[in-house]
Amino acid sequence: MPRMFTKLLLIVLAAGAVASGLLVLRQRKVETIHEISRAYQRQRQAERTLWTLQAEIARRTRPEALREQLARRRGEWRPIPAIPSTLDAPLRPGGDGLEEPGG
Amino acid sequence: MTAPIRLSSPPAASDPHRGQAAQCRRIAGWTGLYVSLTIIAYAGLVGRVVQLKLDPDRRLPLAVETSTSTRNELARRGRLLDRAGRIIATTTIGYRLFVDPQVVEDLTSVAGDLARLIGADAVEIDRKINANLDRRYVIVADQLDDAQIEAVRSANLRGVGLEPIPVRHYPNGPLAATVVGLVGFDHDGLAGFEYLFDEQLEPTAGRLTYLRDVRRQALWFDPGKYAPGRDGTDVRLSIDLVVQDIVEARLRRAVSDHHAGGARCVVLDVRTGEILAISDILNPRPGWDEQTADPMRDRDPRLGRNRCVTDPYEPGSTFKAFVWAVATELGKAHPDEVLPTPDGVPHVTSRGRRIRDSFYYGPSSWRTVLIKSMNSGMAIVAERMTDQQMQGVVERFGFGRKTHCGLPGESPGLVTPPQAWTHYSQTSVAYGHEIAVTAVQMVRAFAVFARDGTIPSLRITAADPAGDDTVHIEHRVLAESTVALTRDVLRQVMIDGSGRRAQSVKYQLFGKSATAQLPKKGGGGYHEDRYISSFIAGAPFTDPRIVVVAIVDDPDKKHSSHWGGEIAGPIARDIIDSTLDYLGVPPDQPGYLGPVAAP
Repeated sequence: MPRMFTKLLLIVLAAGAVASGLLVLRQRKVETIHEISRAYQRQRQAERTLWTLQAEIARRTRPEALREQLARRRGEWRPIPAIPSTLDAPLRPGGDGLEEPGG
Repeated sequence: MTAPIRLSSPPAASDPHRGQAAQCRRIAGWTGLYVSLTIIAYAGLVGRVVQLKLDPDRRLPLAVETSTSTRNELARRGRLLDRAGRIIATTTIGYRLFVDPQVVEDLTSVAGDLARLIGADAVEIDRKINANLDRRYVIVADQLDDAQIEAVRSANLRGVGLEPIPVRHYPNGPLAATVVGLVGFDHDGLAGFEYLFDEQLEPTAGRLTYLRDVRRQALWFDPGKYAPGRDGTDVRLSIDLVVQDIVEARLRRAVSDHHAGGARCVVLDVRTGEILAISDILNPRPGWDEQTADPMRDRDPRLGRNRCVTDPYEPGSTFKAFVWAVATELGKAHPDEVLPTPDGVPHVTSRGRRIRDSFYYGPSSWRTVLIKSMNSGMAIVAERMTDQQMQGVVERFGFGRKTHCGLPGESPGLVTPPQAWTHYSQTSVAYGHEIAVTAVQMVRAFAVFARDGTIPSLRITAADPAGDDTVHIEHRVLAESTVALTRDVLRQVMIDGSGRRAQSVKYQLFGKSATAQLPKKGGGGYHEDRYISSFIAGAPFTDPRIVVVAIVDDPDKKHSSHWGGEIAGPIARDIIDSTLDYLGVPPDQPGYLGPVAAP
């Protein structure tokens, strides 16, 4: 009988251990899902911030605003011609596409 | 050999074996009882689970549902981008402040609290809440700024909530407003590109069902009950915001300088058929009758119609270029053939119709007829053409039918049908009367002279340089030799003709002006002293990149000239200069030395 009892005890303990293990796994799953959802929320929040920043950048760099800025700086800005020969040429010192009047 | 068991003799009380056996029996009994109870309990549990699955109590779903919530996950409407990727329209998330009057603890003080938090009128908020006491969702403010959101969140008022909502932004303000359009309350496209590309831009909202706690906070969600949102697709337009800005600024100046009723302009990339800019300005002038009106634009500029596609106009002398090219190709006149154009008196056609010119030059070559824009010379050659050939001019260049460029409300223009075609039509159409075209039809047709004689399809979405659909050619209109000849004559228009005032110092233009009388509304002929001045031109002459049509509606003769070459010509020239400069196209005007230094 003691051997039987020992076996029974082992079975009960093993079942308990398995149950505990399952509970731990379940808890980890819950925590992982929670973390995923939080990460997702952070990602969405970051995306929303990005959208807002994009809109703000677009507002500040609209052609009219740029034109006003150029007028304030008094120089004549000229586009960099998009032709290979020009693109291959070395940039002038400063290389910002700004040319002085008459240049 | 084992000893026999003596069943008949009772065990002695002090026998250790007997005690041990009894203990084992007790343990076995208890264990059996425990196992039996456990099995019964498990069986009961399994039975209950089966019962709950198969035939649950009717109150159960109700109880479960009350602890779960479903909410929509906002997704973003696609962006409208210009051809360079600049944002024309985008969506951000804003917050709407709402109140649930049935949950609010103190209805008498909530309006005052909210007014203090968001800086609004307490009386107005109180009025809104009290007018909707039976509802559970009363909007107090549609869009809060960051400080207001923080203030409301910190206050943590019961029955007061913040709802995320999509907010559409147009960072460029009124630039290209009539073509971009707008979205409505539910974020659906109502007008312009927003309406046109609504299907692509439309996002798919996500859905999330979660178990909530007593404080209505999300406790747990089942991944199987979560469908993520899908943002709408961005649409990259052919419009270039910088070119659009150049066009709008120039048109505004022209309308102001000439006190005109409005102005229109389209800039076309002739290589790809992309519309780089399209603008339509209206200038209501008090005291003027029969002005072009747009009631929707008065309500909201973004709701206005785009007259470049919706309103046909009489092209006048700009149409001569098309007739001239086809007549030359058909051999009806040689460029150097001298025609009996009149000297000081109107030309009389074979049917007795009198054709007047603005200026009389006497007998002139067919080439000079186009350069000097002589109605008489056009009528003379028109009489050599059959009706079908003249109708073929209209047909070849795509007039009288929609361009299908995609912009909403497009008009096919007005063309006299063959069954109603008369001698009068034959001569009138030759110099651009008795026909009405849209600005987009004009630039597409004129692109034939800027290309190799083929007519491109117009597009309002950006062409992918790496893709196969960069340009779609509809058909060949003219032979290359005819195109070269006509373009050369149109170049002479800029030197010796009505385009002299529109000559550019940077680029060699080829173009044609028109000064058409303004038709009276409801028929009944034309206004005697009111005009539509227009100019259409392409550049650079050697390797054309763009075509621009500029139209000035009803310029005030008291302020300035009314001639197309003098009013619309400089507009087209300035737009061409700035656009080609921006596109990095090197100047081709001989002797151009670069910008003159400011003193």
